[in-house]
Amino acid sequence: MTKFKSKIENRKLKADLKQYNEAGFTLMEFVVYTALLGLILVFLFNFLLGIIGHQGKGKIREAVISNTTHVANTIDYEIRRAHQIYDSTSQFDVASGQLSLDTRNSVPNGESSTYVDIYLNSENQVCIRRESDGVVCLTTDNVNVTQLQFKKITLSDSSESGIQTNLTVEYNTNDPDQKLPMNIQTFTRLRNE
Amino acid sequence: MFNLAKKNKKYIMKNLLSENGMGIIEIIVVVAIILSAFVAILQLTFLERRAQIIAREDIEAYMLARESLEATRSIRDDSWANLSSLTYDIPYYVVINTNVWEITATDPGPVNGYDRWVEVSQVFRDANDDITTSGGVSDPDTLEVTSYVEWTTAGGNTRQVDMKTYLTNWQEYR
Repeated sequence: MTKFKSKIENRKLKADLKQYNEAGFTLMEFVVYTALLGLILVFLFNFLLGIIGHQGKGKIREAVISNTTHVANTIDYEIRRAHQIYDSTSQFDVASGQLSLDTRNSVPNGESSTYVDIYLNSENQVCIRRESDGVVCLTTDNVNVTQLQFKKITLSDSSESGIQTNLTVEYNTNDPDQKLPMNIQTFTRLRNE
Repeated sequence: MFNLAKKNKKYIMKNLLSENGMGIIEIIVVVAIILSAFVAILQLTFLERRAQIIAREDIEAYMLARESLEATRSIRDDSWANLSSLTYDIPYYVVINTNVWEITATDPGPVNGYDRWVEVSQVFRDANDDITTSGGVSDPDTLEVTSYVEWTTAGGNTRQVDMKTYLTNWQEYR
C-alpha cells in the first residue's frame, strides 16, 4: 500500500516538474535576456572595430618609424664615411634635395674613390645611387617622403663641416588622418675618411 | 517512504523556484567577466599605441640630441677654445649662424617642439690616465659633453633623453 502511494507521489512530482519545465521564460526574463544580448553585441561590434582600427594605425606608425629611422641612419653612415661633399650635383636648402658625396666606401675595382647620390625620386622615395651598385631605394612603397632637405654646414674658415638633414616621412594614403607624418632633423660631421 | 517523497517534492520545487532569480544573477556575472576581458584586451591595444607614440618621439628626440653632439664636435674643430672657455655644467645652446655652428648661452627656443641644450663638464684622470669620476686630476684637453632633449609627450608628461660623448683637443697633438 505504502509502495503504491509512493508511486503515485512520484508521478505527481514528475507531473509538477513537467509543468514547471513547460512554463518557459516569463516576458520579463525574455526582455532582460534580449537587452543583455543586445548590449553584448553592440559592445562586441565596437570593440572589434576599435581593435581593427588600432591595429591598422599601429602598422602605419611602424612603417613610418622604421622607414624614417632607416633613411636617417643610412644618410648618417654615408656622410660619416664620405671624403668630401660634391657640390656640383648636390641641391641644398630645397625640400626635394640631393646630396652627392665623394666617398672611399664601396669603391669599384681599380678606383680610389667613387660618388654616391642620395635623392628623392619622382615617386617620393629616397634612393641612393652608387657608381658600383646602381640605384637602390631606401624607403618602401607604403610611405611617401615629403621632405628631404640638406643644408651644408661649414667651419668658420669656410671648410666643410657636415650636412644637416631634414626628413619628413608619412604614410602613403589619401586619408589625412592616416598619414601620421614623422619629422627628423639631424646633423652629421664629415670624418673625411 | 510516503513522507520522504513528500519532503523530496517540497525540496525540489523550492530549489526550482529559487533558480529563477539565480539565473539572471549568473548571467550578469558572466557578462561582467566577459566585458572585463574585452576591456583588458582594449587596454593592451591602447598600451601598444602609447608605446609606439613614445618610440616615435624618442627617435625624434635622440636624432636632435645626436645633432647637438655632432654640432659640438664641429664647434670643437673650429677651435678648442670655443668649448674650453665655457662655464662647466650650465646649459648652452647650439645654433646655426650663416651656415656655421655656434654655441651660445641664449635659448633659441624649441626645435620642432623639443627643447634641447648641451652641458660641458670637466674630465678627471687617475694615475693610469684613465677617466675617473672620483678624485683624479683635471684634464684640460678633454671635456665631457652631454646633450639633453626635453619635451611634453602626447600624454602631457615631460620626458627627457640625454647622450654623452668625450671631446678632446686632438689638434694640439697632431
